[in-house]
Amino acid sequence: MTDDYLWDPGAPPDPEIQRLEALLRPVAHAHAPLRRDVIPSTSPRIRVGRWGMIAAGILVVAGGWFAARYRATSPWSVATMQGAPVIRSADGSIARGVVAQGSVVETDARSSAAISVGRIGRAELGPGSRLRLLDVGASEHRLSLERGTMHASIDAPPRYFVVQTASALAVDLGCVYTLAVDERGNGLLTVEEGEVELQHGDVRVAVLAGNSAALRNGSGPGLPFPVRASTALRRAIEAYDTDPTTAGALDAVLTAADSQSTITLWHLLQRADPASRERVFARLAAISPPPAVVTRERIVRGESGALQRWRTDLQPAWEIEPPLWRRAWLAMRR
Amino acid sequence: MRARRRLPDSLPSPAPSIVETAGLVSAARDGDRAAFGALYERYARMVHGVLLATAQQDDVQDLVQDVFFRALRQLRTLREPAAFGAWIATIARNEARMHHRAEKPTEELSHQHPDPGGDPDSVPDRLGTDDVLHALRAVPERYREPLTLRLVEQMGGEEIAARLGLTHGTVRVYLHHGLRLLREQLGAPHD
Repeated sequence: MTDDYLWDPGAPPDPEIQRLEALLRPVAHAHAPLRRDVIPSTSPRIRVGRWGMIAAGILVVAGGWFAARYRATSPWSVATMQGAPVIRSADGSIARGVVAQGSVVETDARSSAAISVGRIGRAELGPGSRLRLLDVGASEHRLSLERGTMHASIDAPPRYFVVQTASALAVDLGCVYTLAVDERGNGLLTVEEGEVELQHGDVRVAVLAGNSAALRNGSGPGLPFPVRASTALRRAIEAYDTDPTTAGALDAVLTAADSQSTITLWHLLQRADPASRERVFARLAAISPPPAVVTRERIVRGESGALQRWRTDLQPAWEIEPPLWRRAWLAMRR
Repeated sequence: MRARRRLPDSLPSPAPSIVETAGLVSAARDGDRAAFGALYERYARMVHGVLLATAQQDDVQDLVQDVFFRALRQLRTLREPAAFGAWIATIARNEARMHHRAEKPTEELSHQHPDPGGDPDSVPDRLGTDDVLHALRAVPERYREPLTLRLVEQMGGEEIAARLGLTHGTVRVYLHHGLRLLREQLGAPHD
């Protein structure tokens, strides 16, 4: 069985999947048109008198004015949670309550703020933070966390909510997470629900619920690790993230990793040079043997298809969703 | 109208369908029937698959119409137009659950347990559509939906991810594990 055809019906077919498809074809969607009674018929024409036309004209003008005003301000609003957060407009003036494109929200050491992120969720800004709203478009909402802590709770299509920092881009894939950075871009991302992808150049790091990853100025996102990881593994990852060429850095990670931290080892396969990759493969294979199609040779060569295939088997163990009561609480606050 | 900013190379462009869908939803909200028809054309197959994963097969075509009727009435409550796919999938799930609760118990399918005497390396030969559909419905919901969309509605992984609002990685995992569980249900060994 190949996963290529399972993912892409245009790929070379897998006979077994084709047989299942053929058996299920009779129950597929028959492309029936939408019934007429589903869509209400057009309203009957109503004769409108001269005064009616004038009233309608006034309404259109007034509506246009309100709409223009609404668009100019954007639907992002800020509520004070504590202290006195400040909103600066793009021109430097102090704004009240509403954040428009180019605006900055700042909290001092005693302030915190809750930002309503359009219609897609909520972001809480902790003390000592500075957040800039870069873009509110149809295809994405982009902001920049210049320093401080942001707890985001987002309900939107993947890659719709994007946060820039000095060291990496945090791309929301539908989730709840906390991002903390200093002005240089050093910090930590912790995901509570769903998934965030950290990007820096060609590097992509998948941080799933129940995992964290450090951000480092100059080197981008670090290796992801479970929030429940041992102190030994955390220290080993920190040392490796800081300088992977240090003698013993790789060995320390391999020694400290266990069956709960395959997310770390899988990402390490992508980072390590071919010689080291063989050792990472051996360690990960000892914890969770790869499927037959994922061979040592393919992994050492860095074949993307083999890496993704192995990830498919490993990923269910990476995600640690919060308990039900916590999920209900987060959904309520969203 | 503000020109759309070009995305930097480091960020993959969002699927164009997200932007197009948002436009269609806005137009449909304003009473554009053709726009709502276009949403139906685009999402009916997905809604059909989501319903088929739970509801009685004979009722699914009617339920698709009911889901779109409900969606049209509730369109103004949709918080984010670009999330139409995930939103209508939720309506379909609820509709299927309500239907499932209301329906009377039916006779078990005759081939619920396939003959284990067939080729041990593949799914048994003497299977019919009902057998496979029955086995598919026994797969846990999180895997069942993407797998139904793939095997029944012939949608590709990328399309399933875009329509359901899931990531590619998640859909890959669900398809792979879902197929393994389906094969177990059908009495075939997995890889």
